[in-house]
Amino acid sequence: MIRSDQHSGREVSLAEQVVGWLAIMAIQGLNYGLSWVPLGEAKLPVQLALATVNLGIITWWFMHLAEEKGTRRFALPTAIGFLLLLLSIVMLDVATRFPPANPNAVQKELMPRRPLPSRTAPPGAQPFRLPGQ
Amino acid sequence: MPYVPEEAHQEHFGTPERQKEAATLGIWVFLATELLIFSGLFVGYGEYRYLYNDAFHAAGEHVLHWLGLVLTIVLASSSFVASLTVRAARRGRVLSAIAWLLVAMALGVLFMVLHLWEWYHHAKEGALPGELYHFEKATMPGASVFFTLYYLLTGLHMLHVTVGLGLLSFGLLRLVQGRISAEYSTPVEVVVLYWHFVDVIWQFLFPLFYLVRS
Repeated sequence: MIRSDQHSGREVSLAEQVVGWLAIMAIQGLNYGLSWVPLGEAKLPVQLALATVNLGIITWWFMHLAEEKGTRRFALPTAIGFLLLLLSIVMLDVATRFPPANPNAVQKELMPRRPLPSRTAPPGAQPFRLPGQ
Repeated sequence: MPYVPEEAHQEHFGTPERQKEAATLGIWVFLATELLIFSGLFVGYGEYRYLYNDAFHAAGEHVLHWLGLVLTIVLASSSFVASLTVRAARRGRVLSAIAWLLVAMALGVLFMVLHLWEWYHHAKEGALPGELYHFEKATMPGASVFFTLYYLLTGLHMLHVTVGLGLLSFGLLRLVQGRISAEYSTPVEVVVLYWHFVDVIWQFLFPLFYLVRS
C-alpha cells in the first residue's frame, strides 16, 4: 500500500466493492424497469443520470480513485468535460439550424434514394407516407 | 525476503512509490484519451436521436432488451471480480489473484459470445448498418441510423473488450510467471483499470440502445 503525497493512504474495502457491485446491479435493474414507464422526454436524462451513478461507483471503488490524490483524479473527469462540451456545441447547432438544413427535413426531393425493400410487407403494416401526402 | 522483479524499481523514478504513481497516472491519461475515441460516436448518437427521435424509438423496440440487461450483469460482474484480483495481488495471494482473473476473463468471453449471437440475430432479421439495412419491422427514415450507430458503438466497444481480454491475459501471464507480489502488483492493477473502463462505457451503451422504448 503506497503512502505518499500523491496517495490518500486509504485502501478501498472489500465491503465497499461488494456494495458497489450490488448497487450497479440494482441501478441498472431500475433503469431496465424505468424503460417501460412513460416518462416522456425526461426518460433519457433519467437513464443517463443512473448510468452516471454507476460510472461514479466503478471509478471510485472498483478503479480505486478513492485512494488517489492529485492529477490522477482529474484525468477522466477532464475527458468527460470535453465530451460534454463537444456534445453541447453540436446539439446547440442541430437544435437551432434552419430546419431544412437538417437531414430529416421531410421534403420528397430531399429524401435519400434508398431502394425500398422488395419483400412482402408484414400483415397489418401501413405503407410509409411522408407528412402531407 | 520477498521477490521483487527488476522492473519493479527503475532508478529514474527515484522510489518505487513514484514509479507506481507514474504508471497509474499514465493509464488514467490513456483512459481519458480512450473516452475521447468514443466521444465522436456519442455525439453522433445525440445528434441523430434528436433528429430521428420517433424512428429511434421505433427501432429501439426491436432490440433484445433482456439480453442487454444480461450483458450488463455479466460485464459488471466481470469488472467486480477483476477488482478482487487486484485485492489479492496487492496482498501477495497469487493463486487467488489467478483464480479471480480467470473468472473475470471467462465472464468477458461470455459477454463476447452473447454479443456476437445478438449481432447474428439482428443481421438475420435484416437490421444491418447503412445501405445493407432491410429490416421490415422498422422502416421509418432514421431507423437504419439507429442500427448503424448500434453496430458502430457496440463494435468499437467489442474491440475494447477484445483488447481488454488480451491485456488481462498479459496480467495472468505475469501472475503465473511469479512476477507479481505484494511489493509489486502494478502490471495487474493497470490492466484491470483498462477492463473497468470497458465496463464504464457499457454502462452508457445499455440505456442508449437497449432501453429505448416508446
